[in-house]
Amino acid sequence: METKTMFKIARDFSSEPFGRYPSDGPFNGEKFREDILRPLLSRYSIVTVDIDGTEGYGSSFLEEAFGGLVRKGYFTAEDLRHHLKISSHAAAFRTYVTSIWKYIDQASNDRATA
Amino acid sequence: MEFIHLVRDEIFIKRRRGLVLDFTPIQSISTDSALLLVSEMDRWRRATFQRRLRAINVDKWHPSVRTTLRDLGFFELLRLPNWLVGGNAEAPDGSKILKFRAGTGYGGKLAREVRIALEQIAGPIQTANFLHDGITEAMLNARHHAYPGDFRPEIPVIPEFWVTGAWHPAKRLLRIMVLDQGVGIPESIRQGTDPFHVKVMVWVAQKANLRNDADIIEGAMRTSRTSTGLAGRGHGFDNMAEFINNSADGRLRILSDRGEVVYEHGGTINTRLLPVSLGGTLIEWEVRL
Repeated sequence: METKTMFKIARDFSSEPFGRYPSDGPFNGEKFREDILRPLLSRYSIVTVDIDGTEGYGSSFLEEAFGGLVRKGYFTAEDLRHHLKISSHAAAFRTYVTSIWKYIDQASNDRATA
Repeated sequence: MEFIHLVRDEIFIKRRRGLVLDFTPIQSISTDSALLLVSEMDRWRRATFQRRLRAINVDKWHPSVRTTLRDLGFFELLRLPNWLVGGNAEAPDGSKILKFRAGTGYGGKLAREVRIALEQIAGPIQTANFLHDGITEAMLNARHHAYPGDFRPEIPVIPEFWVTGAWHPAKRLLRIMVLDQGVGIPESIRQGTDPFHVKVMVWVAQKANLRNDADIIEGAMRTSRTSTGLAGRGHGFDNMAEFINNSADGRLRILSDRGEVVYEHGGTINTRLLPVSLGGTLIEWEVRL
């Protein structure tokens, strides 16, 4: 496994990530998870995702992209805390960092209680 | 709302021909009322090809009513030329309103267009990302829930949403609205079976016996703020409130069916049962920049 990589959503995926599913549009959370995030986490020991520079992030996109990693059983929350870093330098975007980890933890709790 | 119901009744139920609109007695019209009127005209234009609705005595309408409807795109729907509706005259109070945009919520580009158009009239919006998030949540709600397959409305609907914004410079007030003609949030939740809908109805049952539309919208809002055990669902209302929470002052208003819920900056929630149904959902953000 290679060591580390950084992925910048605004530059390398879309400046307008939107929705959960392909039926919502081309730059949806499921696509980001399945085509980008999951492969990177399987290939690199540390994946840093830079979230700055987009129009924003709806909860649907973030929950599907990040919470979905746990909800689908691909990784545990503990795995992600070791291997996933969320990077943001914009003050207004730091709330998304908190949200991402909230969705990951909620997905973990949901799996534990299911 | 009574007027909108009258228009719907005359056009779609009684199928009257030769209807005219004369707003001469009206002194003012709010942006949300104007958007509702525009969506009705859009519904008329696209759903009834044979009936012609006319506006008369437009030159006698109050200037603020005329400019609000003109800027929103109302007269374009009625195919009235710009010179007849006041040319490019500014609104008496200097307010600026965006021409409405309609869409299906695919892709999210519309949210960026609205943000750019708002910043052209109001200047930079420091918390624009939260505005984007709120608008996209409203769009996705309309897309996923407003027009379910078993929706059988009494009158034709256009399965889209309408968006506009307004800037009132004297008060430094920014307003953004997203409107749909769908089944409504309360009915969608009553009929829904996913964990979020069930949790909302449990909250409502504990609060009041009547389970009216306003209670259900409030339940959705409160459940969204504490959403766990919902398989990743139910964050939308919380997302919508973030623009208010991250502004100096403001409120989020949700009108759907007969319910109205207002979330104020600081967290207070007030509810009201309306005398008649909106026939869809209106989500409105109002913030002071």
